[in-house]
Amino acid sequence: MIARLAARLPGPPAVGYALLALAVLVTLALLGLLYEWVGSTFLDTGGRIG
Amino acid sequence: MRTMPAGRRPLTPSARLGTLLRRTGWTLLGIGVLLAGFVVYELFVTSFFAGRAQAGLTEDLNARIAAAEVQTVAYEAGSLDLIAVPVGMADDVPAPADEEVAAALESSLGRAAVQAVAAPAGTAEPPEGSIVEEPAVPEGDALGRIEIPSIGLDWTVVEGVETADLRRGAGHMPDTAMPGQPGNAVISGHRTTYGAPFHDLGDTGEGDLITVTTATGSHVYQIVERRVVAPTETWVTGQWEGSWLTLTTCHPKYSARQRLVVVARLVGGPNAVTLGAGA
Repeated sequence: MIARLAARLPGPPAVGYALLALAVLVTLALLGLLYEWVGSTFLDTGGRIG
Repeated sequence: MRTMPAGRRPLTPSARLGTLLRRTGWTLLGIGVLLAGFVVYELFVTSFFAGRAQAGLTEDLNARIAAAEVQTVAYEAGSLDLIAVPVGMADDVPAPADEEVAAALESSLGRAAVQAVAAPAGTAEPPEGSIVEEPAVPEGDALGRIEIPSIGLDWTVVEGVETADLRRGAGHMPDTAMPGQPGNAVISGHRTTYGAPFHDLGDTGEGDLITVTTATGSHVYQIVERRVVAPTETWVTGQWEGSWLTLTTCHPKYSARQRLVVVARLVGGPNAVTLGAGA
């Protein structure tokens, strides 16, 4: 599946793989930010008062 | 009107239903993976980061305590702008036996992490009418170590309660008294994420002892009150006469809706004679 996705992207296969890896990293980073925001807003703020 | 491309047959109702079911299944699977990722992140990834931060903080704390210059200063009740203790606080909790306080001090000072540097200050009480003064700690630096033996709590406390501070451990609220000093030292901590330093705070009981070790020695507090309040109830951070410790965390577990507040009074340590309950 990864090879097929990489082949669909423009440029040589190596560039396709690099773009895919970048997309995965960006997605994971965005997910981490989303998890962090949801967790620190609704789940546990750290117990601060005020 | 849309026309069917040549060579493609229209989907039968059962094939359409199959496609719908398959897409729904993949969507639910995706949502499940996202939720599972959230749980793993909150419970394990954040705790991993907190654990690493704690290791560094403990080293910093030992270095800071070793280098700290502690001074004894005169203290007169009423010389600071402290307010009256809230009505009913600590009314029905008998003070602990001297042996119990001594055992808590000995246990804390016996720990290798703080033994070498904290023992002299922690065991040498200043003369009555004077206190050992806690040196200022920059925000983000290690301030001390908090232990509650009854629930197995043992964490290094960082100065500050900003989000970044609390990701590293329990945090001391700036502008409140330092532990062992006149007033009310407020320490906040996560209950379910980032190592959850205050996860079991709800299991403490009145009379349990808390030890906070700083550059001025080990200060023993006795829990006198537990309350659930709204996050906006700032009276719990008030600077009361005497020497107090207030711990705050989210309540109930896995919700930031309320705060569990544990209040303790100073009963042992270098400043207890001048500031403690019996003073």
